[in-house]
Amino acid sequence: MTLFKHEMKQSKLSLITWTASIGFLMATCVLLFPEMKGEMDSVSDMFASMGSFSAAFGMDRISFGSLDGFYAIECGNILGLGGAFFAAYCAVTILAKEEKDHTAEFLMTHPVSRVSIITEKLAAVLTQIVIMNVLTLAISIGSMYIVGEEIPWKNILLMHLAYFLMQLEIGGICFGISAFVRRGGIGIGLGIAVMMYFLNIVANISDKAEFVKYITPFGFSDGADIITNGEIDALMVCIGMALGIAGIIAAYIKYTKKDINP
Amino acid sequence: MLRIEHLTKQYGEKKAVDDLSLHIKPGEIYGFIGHNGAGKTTTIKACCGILPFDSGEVYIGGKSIKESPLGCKSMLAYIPDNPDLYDFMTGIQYLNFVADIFGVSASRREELIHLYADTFELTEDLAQPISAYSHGMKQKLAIISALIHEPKLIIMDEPFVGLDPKASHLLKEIMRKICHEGGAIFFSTHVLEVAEKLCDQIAIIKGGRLIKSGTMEEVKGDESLESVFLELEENHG
Repeated sequence: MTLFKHEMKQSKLSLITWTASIGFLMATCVLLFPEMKGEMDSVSDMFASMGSFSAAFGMDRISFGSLDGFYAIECGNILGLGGAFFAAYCAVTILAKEEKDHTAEFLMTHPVSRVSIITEKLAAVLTQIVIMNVLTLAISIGSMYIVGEEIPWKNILLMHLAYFLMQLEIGGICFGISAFVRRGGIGIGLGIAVMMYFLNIVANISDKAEFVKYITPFGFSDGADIITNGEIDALMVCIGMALGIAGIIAAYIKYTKKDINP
Repeated sequence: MLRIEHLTKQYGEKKAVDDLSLHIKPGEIYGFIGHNGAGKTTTIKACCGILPFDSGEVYIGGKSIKESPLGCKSMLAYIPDNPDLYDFMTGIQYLNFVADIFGVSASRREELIHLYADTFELTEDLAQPISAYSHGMKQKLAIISALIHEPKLIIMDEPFVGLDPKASHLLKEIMRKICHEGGAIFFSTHVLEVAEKLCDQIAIIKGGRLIKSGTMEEVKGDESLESVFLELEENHG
């Protein structure tokens, strides 16, 4: 547990910053909803008729005038992209940084096995993702109470669950990448998150590219789909979790055998 | 305490360490000298489990570093020539982190941290972040972190680099004390005068190969270590 506590301590400021930023933006959106609600019907009609732009962000399928519809689009993009960036950032550097910062030598000379190193660092990544999601959910729910709107619990909780699972997948994949790279990991991790986001936009725009939703975790965490269908697509989640787990397994295999350059 | 048997480490075509065998017994201070690029650091890192090696074996306290790496590392402390520490930590946080890894009890670690921090005059700086430390202060902190878990074997790579004269003197005293109490020390150095005064045994390495080893008297006889070293370097050129 020593390494886990060390990682959590090291990441404390980063976790607070990301959580506060994402939470603040989501709270701002929710707090603005009552002001915008009156105009939402006309805005919703306008957004729904903007062709591919509407389809890209799911605005052709849900109403901007309802709290869950507004939340899915506005807060969904914040937590979706922001959460993906956060998970990628946490995971992609956590193994590689010991080589980059030349502290690998410290770890290698102490009675800590590589499996323990990987496991405790993975636990630190997962814990940070859990904490960020719990706090942002609490901030969102708190904001909804403040504005006095009736909370569409099922849709809100489903969306948050989907974003959480999406972050787990991206975190798992980036954790695997962290075992292979020595530097430049942040660019790769954030690049993967952005690419996954845009793949979902492409899938939303083009019927021919709909299969791409099975590749990107933004496919099963698309707020518009969740509200429309009333559920998260289980097959997409299973594929996503399998990819995340594959990343974690790759990390174990690579890191335990890697010739680490202190 | 440390037995190196036919150690070979190759990088591509080049043998950084070539069939090296050494035996360091409990109670010994063993010096390891050689020119730049001779293979000293490679040997040391292989002994500590940082670098894998191509053939041979390293035993620490009778345990193989390959088969029982955690068992070996629990008996060992390594002090590099240029310690890379966690800059975001304070000195005391770093020492507690190391003590946690080795399972040192709270009371014992407090006692030893006070002892060694006072000895090296680092007590007042322990609350500062390591990022604010000079090289010498980092070296002192690395030494303290090596001592607080009371290892049986200490391996050091040019430990006197960056230390002020007082700290160097204190380190030598501590090294003698550790060996007197049954520990062993294996260290590399370019400062031949220090090796001459401090070491019980010495090994000279060149081009990855051991060219001379034995007690200080056996290696240097009536001459100075410096002249013996230079002569051996020429003869094995």
